[in-house]
Amino acid sequence: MFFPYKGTASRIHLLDARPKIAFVLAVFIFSILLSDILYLSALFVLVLVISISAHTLKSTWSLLRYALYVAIFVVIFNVLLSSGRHVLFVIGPIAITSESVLFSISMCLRLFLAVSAFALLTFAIHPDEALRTMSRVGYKTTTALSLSTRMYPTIANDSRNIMDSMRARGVEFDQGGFLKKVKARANVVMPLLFNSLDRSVAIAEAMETRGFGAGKRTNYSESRLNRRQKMMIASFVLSIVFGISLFVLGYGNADYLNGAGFHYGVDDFLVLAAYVILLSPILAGGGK
Amino acid sequence: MISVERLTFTYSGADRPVIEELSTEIREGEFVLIVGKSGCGKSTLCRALNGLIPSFYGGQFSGRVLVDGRDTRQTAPSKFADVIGMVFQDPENQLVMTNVENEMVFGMENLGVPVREMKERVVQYADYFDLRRFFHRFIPELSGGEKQKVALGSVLAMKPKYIILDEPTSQLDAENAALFLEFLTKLNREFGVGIILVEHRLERCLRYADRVIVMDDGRIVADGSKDEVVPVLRRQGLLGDIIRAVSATALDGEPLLTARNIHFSYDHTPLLEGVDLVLKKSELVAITGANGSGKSTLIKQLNGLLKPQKGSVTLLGTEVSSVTTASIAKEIGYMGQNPNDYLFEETIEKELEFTLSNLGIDANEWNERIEWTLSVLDLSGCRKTFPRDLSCGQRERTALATILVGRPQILVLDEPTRGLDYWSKNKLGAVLEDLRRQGMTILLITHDYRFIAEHATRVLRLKDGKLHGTSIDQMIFLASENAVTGDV
Repeated sequence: MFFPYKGTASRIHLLDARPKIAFVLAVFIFSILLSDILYLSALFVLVLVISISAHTLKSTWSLLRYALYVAIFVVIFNVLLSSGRHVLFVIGPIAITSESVLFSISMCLRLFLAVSAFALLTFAIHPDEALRTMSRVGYKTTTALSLSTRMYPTIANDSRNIMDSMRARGVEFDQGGFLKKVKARANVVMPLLFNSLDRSVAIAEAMETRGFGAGKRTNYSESRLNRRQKMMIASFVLSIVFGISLFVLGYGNADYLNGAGFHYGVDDFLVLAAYVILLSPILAGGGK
Repeated sequence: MISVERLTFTYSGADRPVIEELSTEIREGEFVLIVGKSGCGKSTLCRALNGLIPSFYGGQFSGRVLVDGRDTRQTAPSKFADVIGMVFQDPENQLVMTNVENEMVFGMENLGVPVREMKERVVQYADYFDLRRFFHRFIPELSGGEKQKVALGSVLAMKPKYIILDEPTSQLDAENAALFLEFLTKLNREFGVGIILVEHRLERCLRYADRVIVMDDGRIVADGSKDEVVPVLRRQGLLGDIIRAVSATALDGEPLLTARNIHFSYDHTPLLEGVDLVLKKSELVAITGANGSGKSTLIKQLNGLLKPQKGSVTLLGTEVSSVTTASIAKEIGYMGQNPNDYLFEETIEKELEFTLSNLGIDANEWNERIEWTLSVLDLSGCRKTFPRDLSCGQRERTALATILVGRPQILVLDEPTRGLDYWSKNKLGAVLEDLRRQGMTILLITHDYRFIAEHATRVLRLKDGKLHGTSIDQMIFLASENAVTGDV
């Protein structure tokens, strides 16, 4: 199945999409903002704990595995190209410095944090719900997005069927060299395009007959946020404001390439605790 | 009331009208069946009733259509959504949302139905249609029958006065189709919803209609009760006695294909549980069975499109799982459900050349093979035609031509009669019978009992993961005209 959403009945799944989206947004912002390894690690662990609570750790891990490949490149590039004064060891003409190593670790943690938050968005928010939340911003765009989610398996299925029909006409997809395989697959494009065009006309017709664009619409799931959800959203928004303010004051910002190291005071731990306190309400989840 | 007054419509680019000077009236609460050959203008008429024609298609439109007094040319089709609902042939192409609940409310949201009322209607119709079971299921995971029911439920929740259905059962098996049609009848009787149904499969739906409109060449040629129109349907060749063209005696000879103890599961759900099948020369074997019983999965094992998880398939002495589908395409031809998957070249000729080139056939043989194929399939006049411009029946035959041109010994067809009208089906039946007499072995999947009764030498039913022999006589009974007119 191509649909990544995991329909389990976890606390996190039962929570309305809006606090979840606010949470993911906050974490995304932090992954861009923060560079300190301790801060990033703490938030990464927090997101992993939430994944465990949402029963999506396995799926998150499968995404992180891909991020790991990217991370390897990040490390290699930074270690090879960055300069620094504290040489750890030398391999031939290349000097590996502690600055470049710390910077690489920081970059990778940012990536992992962003990916794990994205995983929560993908695996723990039903696409319809996510789209409905966004539909308050632009309904037509959202419907188009929903349609693509809906049609993705259909088109994938179409392309499988076309490949089957091609095989029955003697096209080899899995034998021969790379170029031969690419050429064979190119045959699928035209029928897929024709079929998709036919489908889009049919769908447009169906939508028209169901009153799409007829006038002012109502919204079925106009569920009011309850107090708990409102407080969650407030807490996550506050964490963003808090994060940005403290970042301006220099917290969580470590310039490893210019020799920053692990020097933390009590204030750092207090700030970190505030981050965790502001973000962890999501663990309370939703449900009756 | 929907009133059609002297409607004439020509699609843009076409040289003659598809509907000509057509007038009729459809009243609230009627169950109207519209029948006629492919291309007679049935679907066009349906689309004119709610203004999709002309607003969606352009073309030349004269006369007028009034829906409860509103002219369709002066109102957008979406504005008729609260009066006329429409259910289309392919459920895949009319469901917009990802889950059933959201699908049900999509139309109501568009109409601006208040939230409280939407909630009431969702409960009411979900219960009525028994949709609650899969309320939160992802729509692509539903079966064809379930999808079509969701489509109908979603349209009905908008409380239209009329529902137009354009061949809604063409993708359903007999049992699901009967359930669907009975359901329509119930809606008609209990809610007074006007039903306007277009169908090719008269044996399925004639019994349900109060009124039958017969169309031919863009005009209405008969309009009346079931009993009144039956003679016209017979004259038009839309209804006829079952004429069995073959003898079902067992054929001797070496088996061409042998499948032994085939097992196959999808996501740990067993679908095939020990299927045995032997195909001999000059047989036409039909496989029938409910939607989702695994028929398509089974035939894909025969040419290696799917590999059995247990068991083996031997084709002319070769173990199929050890070779690629393409490498045995010369021996075993396969046509999937959608003929459009086979059509992408500029002309039919080029389509056939594509196959010949892939199969590595000597170019000197091409012309003779193409001529033979096109003449067998009655497509000689269309050699240079763009395949996507053809009618439904012609497309089906063109797709078949792309396989037949390789002259396989075995031909495997997945629901080749789907969406074909009576005439096209007869044509296909005659072609297959001709090929069988020439020594080809044909295996096909179909829900069409009549087609089986007329053309199959043997019939098998796939049930509970195994193939069971069924008698042709039973098929004849099921397809008999008594069943057609509902007089049983």
